[in-house]
Amino acid sequence: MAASSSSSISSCSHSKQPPENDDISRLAPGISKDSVLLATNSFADICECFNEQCEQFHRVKHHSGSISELGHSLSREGSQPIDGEEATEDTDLEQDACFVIEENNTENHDDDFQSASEDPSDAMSRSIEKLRLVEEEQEDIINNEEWQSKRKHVFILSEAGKPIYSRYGSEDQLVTMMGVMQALVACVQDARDSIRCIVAGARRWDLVFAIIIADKQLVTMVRMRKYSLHPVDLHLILNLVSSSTTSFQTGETWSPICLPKFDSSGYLYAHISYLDDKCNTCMLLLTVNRDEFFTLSECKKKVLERLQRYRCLEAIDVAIAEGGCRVSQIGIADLRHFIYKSRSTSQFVCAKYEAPYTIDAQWERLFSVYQRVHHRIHTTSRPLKILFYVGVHETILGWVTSGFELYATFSPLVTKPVAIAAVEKLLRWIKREEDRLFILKSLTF
Amino acid sequence: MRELISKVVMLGSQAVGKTSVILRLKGSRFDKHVSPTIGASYCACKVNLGHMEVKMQVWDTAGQERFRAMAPLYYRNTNAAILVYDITSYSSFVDLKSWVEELNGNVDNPLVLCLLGNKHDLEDRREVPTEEAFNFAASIGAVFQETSAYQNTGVEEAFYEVAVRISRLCDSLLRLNSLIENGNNTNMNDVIDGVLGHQGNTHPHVDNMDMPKCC
Repeated sequence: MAASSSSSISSCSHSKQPPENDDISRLAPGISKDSVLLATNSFADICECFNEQCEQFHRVKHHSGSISELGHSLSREGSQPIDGEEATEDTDLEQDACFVIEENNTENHDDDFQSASEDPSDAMSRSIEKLRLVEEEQEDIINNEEWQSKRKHVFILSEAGKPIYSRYGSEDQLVTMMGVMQALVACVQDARDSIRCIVAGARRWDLVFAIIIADKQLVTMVRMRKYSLHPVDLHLILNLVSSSTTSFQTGETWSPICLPKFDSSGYLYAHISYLDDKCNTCMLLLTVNRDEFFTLSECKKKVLERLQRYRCLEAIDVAIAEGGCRVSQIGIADLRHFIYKSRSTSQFVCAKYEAPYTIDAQWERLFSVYQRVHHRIHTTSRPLKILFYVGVHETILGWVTSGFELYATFSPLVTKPVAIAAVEKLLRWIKREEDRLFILKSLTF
Repeated sequence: MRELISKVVMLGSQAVGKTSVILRLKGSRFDKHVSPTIGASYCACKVNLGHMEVKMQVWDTAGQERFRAMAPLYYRNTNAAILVYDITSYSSFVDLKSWVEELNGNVDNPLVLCLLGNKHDLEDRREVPTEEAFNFAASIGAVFQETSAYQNTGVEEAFYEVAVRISRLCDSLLRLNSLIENGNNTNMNDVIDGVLGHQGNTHPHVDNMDMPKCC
């Protein structure tokens, strides 16, 4: 805190914005409407208002607890199985209603992390519930005993979802069911993926989140479309993993876990395992069903096999070894360090510490200055949009817009115009690299 | 060869060496700095009995008190419980009595019990006399074995004995209830379900367990 006595703070309040701002702030690098995480203004501040997406989530969430909601749909299916399918569950997997819909499979096998969600057994299970509900309501041929007794059905439908052929019964009687199938196909196509298989009956999973973590960072996440992960919950998971590394090394761990933002009134069950011998990469599979361990254990094997086939684990190791972006590589002369947070995705980029911040005492001081600038900007009584902080050891420009929050550190002698020009350049760089720096696409099932 | 799938749970106070025993069973080296288990970790091991291979799905549970409430999640439908204490800690031995009571109260299935006195290498700090532990094991019909995960003694013997007991339990359930095994892969819990369905009550007919013998 040596800097505090001699530092001067000059701030621009709302009215005094630098002229170039509007153009740049519209850039908002790392922006995404389809975020893997819920967007929040601050990790710690849970009382802040959320953006529209979050509000929607909360309406859903408060309507009923997420876990009980998921559990309810399970128990309902358990107690009132659709005739015909009931008999098949224990005896013969082949008898399970298994609709294979052939689409033009333009699968992107090169996309490493996409592949985790491409597994047909993985992504498609969610929707059968809907199908069953429709079946329940329906009076048509689906409830016909003779139709149900057939071991294998073949349905052909057009890309638009019109029934073309059914092995048993008339296509016309299957309009509703095929409509549901078409809806499923469309849902998946929305996510720029293609459906290959819908699995019904006993083989469906109750997975809610699948998360891969390396070096205290989220590598990728697949989630149920309906549920998002709150940064606070992710923070808990990251802490659990990083503080218990050696406990999870022994093999596969199975443990209940409460994610308070997801549902504070219940537990999810977590299958936790490391994917490599060096224990760099950890995978968590979260479900609502406590009996799902062996299913998830199988699932882990499949995911691991895929990741190995496409050499993803090596790629993760390389990324960790590189350790984030270096300011010196960006080529902005006066810039020493920065932290950039994309608000819509709740993700941030923090530059690697370079001289003079390679010494612990130095970066600790830097962070206490960041803390002070952050605190000043977010003061509830008089929040600021821009703060130009001149200290003895460094100058920090803090800038908050609706899309991002940026703290950039310069040498103490930098002038305001130079700092602003540098920040402008930095934003352009982040924008250019945004696919690499942020997880912009959200994988759902 | 016939394969019998069974579920086994490891229970006991914290720091008695449950994870170290499992690591030895998996063929790993002894590690002085094993971290406390969180929830439970899973390990599959196979014991070859000659006429039958017993596949044990072992749940190594967390011993820390704060995880105690989770235990029922792991011992539900278990076929064997391995109760581990530390021979240098009398309280860890006393704790096993409450585990036995809890299992008796909550597990309806016939169950193979095994008492493991770990840290046998620390003889000079012994607090639990072998005879007392042996008598307790006898009173609950459990396999008894003193082990040292550090020196890797007694671990394989104990799991072999548990596997033998599980296979005997399976055979006696099948025989006494006149059930016929189908196929080469048998799951203990399917056998138990079969027995329950067959008899229409919740207390399957079980052979009297052999008295434990000190190894």
